[in-house]
Amino acid sequence: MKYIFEDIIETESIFLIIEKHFDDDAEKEHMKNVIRDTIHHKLMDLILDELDVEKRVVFLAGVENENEHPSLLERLRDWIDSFEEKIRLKAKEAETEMIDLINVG
Amino acid sequence: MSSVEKSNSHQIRKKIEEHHKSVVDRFHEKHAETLKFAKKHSLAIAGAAILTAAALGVSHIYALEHTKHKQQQETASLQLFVKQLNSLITDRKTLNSAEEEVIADALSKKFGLNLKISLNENRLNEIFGYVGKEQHLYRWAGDALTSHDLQNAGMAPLQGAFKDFDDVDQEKYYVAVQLHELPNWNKDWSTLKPWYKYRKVLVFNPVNQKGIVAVIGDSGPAKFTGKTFGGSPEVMEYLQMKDGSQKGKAIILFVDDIQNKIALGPVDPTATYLANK
Repeated sequence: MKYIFEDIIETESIFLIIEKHFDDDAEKEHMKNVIRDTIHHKLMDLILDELDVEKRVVFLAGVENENEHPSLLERLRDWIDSFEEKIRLKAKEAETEMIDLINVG
Repeated sequence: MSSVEKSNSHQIRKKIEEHHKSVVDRFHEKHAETLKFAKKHSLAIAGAAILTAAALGVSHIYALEHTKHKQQQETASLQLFVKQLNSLITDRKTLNSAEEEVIADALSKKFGLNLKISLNENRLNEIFGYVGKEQHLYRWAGDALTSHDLQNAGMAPLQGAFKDFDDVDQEKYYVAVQLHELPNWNKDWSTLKPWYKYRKVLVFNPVNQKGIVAVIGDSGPAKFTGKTFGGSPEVMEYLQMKDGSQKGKAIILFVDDIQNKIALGPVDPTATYLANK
C-alpha cells in the first residue's frame, strides 16, 4: 500500500540507519513499514488539524484509494497554505524524533 | 552480527514500535470524533468498509490482514442486514414496536446516527409508509420558484405548517408527516407544534439503502391519499422515490441531535453537496 504523501517527503536518513542496524531483510522491511506508518500518522494529524469537518470527510473518503491520491493532493494544495512545505517539515521532524530515539542509550 | 549488535537492534525495534504505538494511540484519541464522523459517511460510500483503518494505512502485515478480515465481516453483516430488513418490511402494512426498535438500532449503526422511534416522549403514528412527492414550499415572504432547484416540482400555493423556514436547507430537505393524526394533537398542539417544528429525521429508502437527514417542515398528507409521509423534491430525488402507482415506502426516524451537529442532506460523502466543497 502506498501512502499518500510518500512522493512529497524525503526520509532516507532513517532508512539508512535501519539498513545499518538490521541484517534480516524481513526485519528491515518491517521496521521501515513501522517508520512509514508513524510518519503517515503524524502527517494525517497535521492535515486533519488544517481542514474543516466536511473537507476532512472528503479527504478521508479518498485517502485509502491510490487512484484518488493525485486529485486529493491537488485539493490539499488548494485548501492548505504552503501545503507541501508543511508536510516536508512535519515529516522531517518525525524522522528526527525517531533518529534521536535510536541514538539515545 | 555480534550479540551486542543483535541486542542493539532489538532495543531499536522496541523503541520504534513503542513510539509508533504511542503516535497511533494519540492520533486516535485526538481525532476520535472526526474518524467516527468519517466512518459514518464511509459506510454509505463503501457499503461497509472500515475507512478508519484503511485511511490510516496500517502497513504492518498482520494489521493489514486483520483489516481485510474486518472489512469482509462488515460487508457480510451489511448484506445480511439488507436481507433481514427487506424480509422484515416486505408486504407489511405496519411494524410492531420490537421490529421498530430493531430497525432503529440497525440504521443507527449503519449511518452512525443516534436514531429514535420516540424522542422526549413524542413519536409518530407510523415510522414506515408510502411517501408522496410534495411541491416546494414558500420559504419566506418574497420567495419565488425561480430561486429553487428542481423547479419542475412546482410551488405549493401556501406556506408550510410552520410558516417561514430558518434557512434554505430546511426547505430543500423537508418532509411532511401527519401531525394532525397524532392522538394528542388536538389537546396538546400548542406544545407539540414547536417540538415538531423543523425536527430532524432520517428518511431511509430500504430499496436502495439511501438515507437522507431532513426536517419535519409540514403537516400532511391527508389520510385518504393512502400515503403516510410527503417528501420535498430534493428528498424524493435523492432517495429515487416515485409518486403515483410507482410510489414506494420509506422509514422515518427521529435524529437525536441535541447539540445540533448533524447536517441536513444525504448521508453519503459522494453526494454533490460535499464533492463541491
